[in-house]
Amino acid sequence: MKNFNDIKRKLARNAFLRSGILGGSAGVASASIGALVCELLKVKVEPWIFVLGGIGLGAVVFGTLLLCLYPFERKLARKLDDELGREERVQTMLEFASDEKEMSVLQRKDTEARLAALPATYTQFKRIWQCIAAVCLAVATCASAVVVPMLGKGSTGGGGNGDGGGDSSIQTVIPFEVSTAQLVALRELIEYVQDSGMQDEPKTATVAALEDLLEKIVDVEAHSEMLVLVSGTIVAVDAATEAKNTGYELATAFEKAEAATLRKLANAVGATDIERFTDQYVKFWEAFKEYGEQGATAKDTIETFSTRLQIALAMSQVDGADELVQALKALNEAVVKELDPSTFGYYTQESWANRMETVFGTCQGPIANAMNKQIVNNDVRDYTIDKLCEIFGLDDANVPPLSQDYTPTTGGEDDKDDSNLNDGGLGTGDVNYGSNELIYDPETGELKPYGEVFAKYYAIYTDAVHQGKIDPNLEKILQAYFDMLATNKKE
Amino acid sequence: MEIMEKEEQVKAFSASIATVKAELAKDVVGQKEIIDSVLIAIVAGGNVLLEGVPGVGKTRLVRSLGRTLSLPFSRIQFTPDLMPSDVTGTNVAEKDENGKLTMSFRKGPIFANLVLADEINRATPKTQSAMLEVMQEHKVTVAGQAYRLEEPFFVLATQNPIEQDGTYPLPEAQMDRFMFKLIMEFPKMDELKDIVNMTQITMDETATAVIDGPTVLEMRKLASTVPVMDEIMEYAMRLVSGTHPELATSPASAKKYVKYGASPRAAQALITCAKVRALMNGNYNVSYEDINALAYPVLRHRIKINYSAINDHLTVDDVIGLLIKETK
Repeated sequence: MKNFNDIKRKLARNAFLRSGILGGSAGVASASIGALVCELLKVKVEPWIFVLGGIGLGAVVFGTLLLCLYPFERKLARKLDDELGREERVQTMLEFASDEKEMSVLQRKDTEARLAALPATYTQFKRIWQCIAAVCLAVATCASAVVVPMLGKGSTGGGGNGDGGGDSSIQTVIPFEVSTAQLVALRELIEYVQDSGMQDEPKTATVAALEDLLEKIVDVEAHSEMLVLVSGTIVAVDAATEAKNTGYELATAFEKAEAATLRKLANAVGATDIERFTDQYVKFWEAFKEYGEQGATAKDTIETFSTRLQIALAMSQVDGADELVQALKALNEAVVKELDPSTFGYYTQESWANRMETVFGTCQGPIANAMNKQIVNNDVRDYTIDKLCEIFGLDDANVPPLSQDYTPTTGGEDDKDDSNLNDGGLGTGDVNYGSNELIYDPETGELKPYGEVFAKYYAIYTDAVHQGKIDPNLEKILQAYFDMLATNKKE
Repeated sequence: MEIMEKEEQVKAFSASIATVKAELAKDVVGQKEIIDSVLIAIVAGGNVLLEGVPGVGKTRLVRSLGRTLSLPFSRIQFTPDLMPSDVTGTNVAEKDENGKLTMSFRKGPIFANLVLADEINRATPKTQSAMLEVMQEHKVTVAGQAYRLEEPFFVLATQNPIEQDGTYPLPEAQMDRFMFKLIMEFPKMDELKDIVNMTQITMDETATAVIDGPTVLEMRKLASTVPVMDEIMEYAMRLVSGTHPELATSPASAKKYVKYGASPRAAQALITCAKVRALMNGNYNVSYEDINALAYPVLRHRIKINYSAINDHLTVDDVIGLLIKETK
């Protein structure tokens, strides 16, 4: 049975080879087609699924083909009998393979001789074109699966603002896929903000912005898209805190007031930590202490301070219900009420200083509380923004412009108040509408020297006061303003 | 050694068959299939029923066969008045030298190796039944005494399909004892021409002896060793059992056209003759083709077709063809 076994071995080899090539090609082609279809339909599927599917299908095709092509003995015997003229020689030979009777031996010998006479082409690897075609198809689909996504991402890189940076004519898109670690860190950040001492309003807004980011970041596929999303969240977090960050506005307003004491107060309310606030607050009332040297005339100075403070509060445009504003107003009232020398039974500078310390000490608490809340808000805000940059790898260039911390003034110990309210106007005093400055005339609609329309403006004011349209707190400020204008000689 | 001897025997078998055919061709023109079938039957040890019109060479064939095989030949012309003892022989009373009466058995014409039973269907059933024991057991029993016939023993019976009046159709039991039923067709034009030309020269039969009886027996023994695949064996069995319409596994054509099917002797005959045929064709194994080719002579006298087949103008051979097609 040597020849039969030789033929069988060769045909089996061919079957394995053909099945392997076709099965492997089918596996590669199917995985590639699957990846391509998912890419075109924008369906997100893990790559290992394609690999597994390709291996599975390839194995199925290999197994099925092998089953069909493998030269099982009986199948091969029938096929060879067809080749040898249908005399059932090979099948009989197999059945009587172990029979040692003379006729069976002769039959085997005769059959083997006929098998040996078969042409060598009988066992050659046939239909090689099938295998070549299958391999080509697999390579083509694999190449398509690799190239098409690259082309797609390149075309969505955008013009001018591409992720690749540099030359805007080169459209490169850096892909992005949020990692599990990033999502975990983001969730932890949300928990941190929720557990922090941030005030409710900015906390709610900050958490909402972070949760929105958490929801949207999983669908982001491009790095540029991620930057936009995270930057937007940073801006939202900053804006949430800014609304409550009244210290900055107040400090800026106080800084513009022409009073050293208010400038020092600006440094206090603009402080970014409680230690600095305390330090500056002390310097503030240390400077105020000098007013005590004026004796009875300190009353005017105090009133001037009060007026400037109120003007500065008004100019800051911070809501009057703000906790810090309320605390500063309380300080103002306490100063006016308690530090008026005429209210002392026996005024001495020392007693005034003592009372001043009591007043400022009492008022420090509410101001500090208000300040502390804003500082905590800012600290949590700063941490949140830094953490977002860390999680998503943003550098300074990617972070949008945010609200600024107040920069303290460099006023020295010799910085003293200008005690004469009549020298210089409000604010920076850049422009004083003197008697010859042109100003809008509400009646004629013309520009006229201020001195000619002052009376009309004052009349409008007094009418408004009589009609109760002016806030009593603001009335005093406006009155002081008009008083200054009326006596102003500076042009 | 034994393999080589066997190989020599096979070569000798093929050579003998070829020689016999060549000798027979001297006396019998054409009829190659008939000659092949008759040779197969002889080697297989069976009997043949030959049906053909008068003058096609039935007697000549058997006579030439007897001469070629060096086997004594006898011819029995069956007539309605033929008695069984006319076939088998009988005891006769004889006076010896002393005048004493003794009974001695006078052998009948059946005591030959090759017997031509001409127009067997003309004899009475009683006479026909005398042939039963002879054909099956190769022995004759007369007055309780059994007389063995010499091997190889072969009966070639003939039937005239034209004159059926006054004939006695062979009983099924006797029909079943014939291994083959062969239809001897009228010669083709060129064969007829050759016959006429040949017989114009001489009517004598010129075939000579080329093998003898023992050689035939050796050939028979050799043929019996030819291997048959199980699948082919089962196919032959399915073919024979498929002739029985009452069986659930029978093909549709059997249920439609067959009245009753073949006996187990048909299966025996198929396999035995297939082995001989394979060896005659130079093969060392039986093939499906051997079974299919022998199905016709083996089955045509063993199955009975019904009125549906007659109505559809189908012959027995047509029905056998359908059975072969439908048997898997």
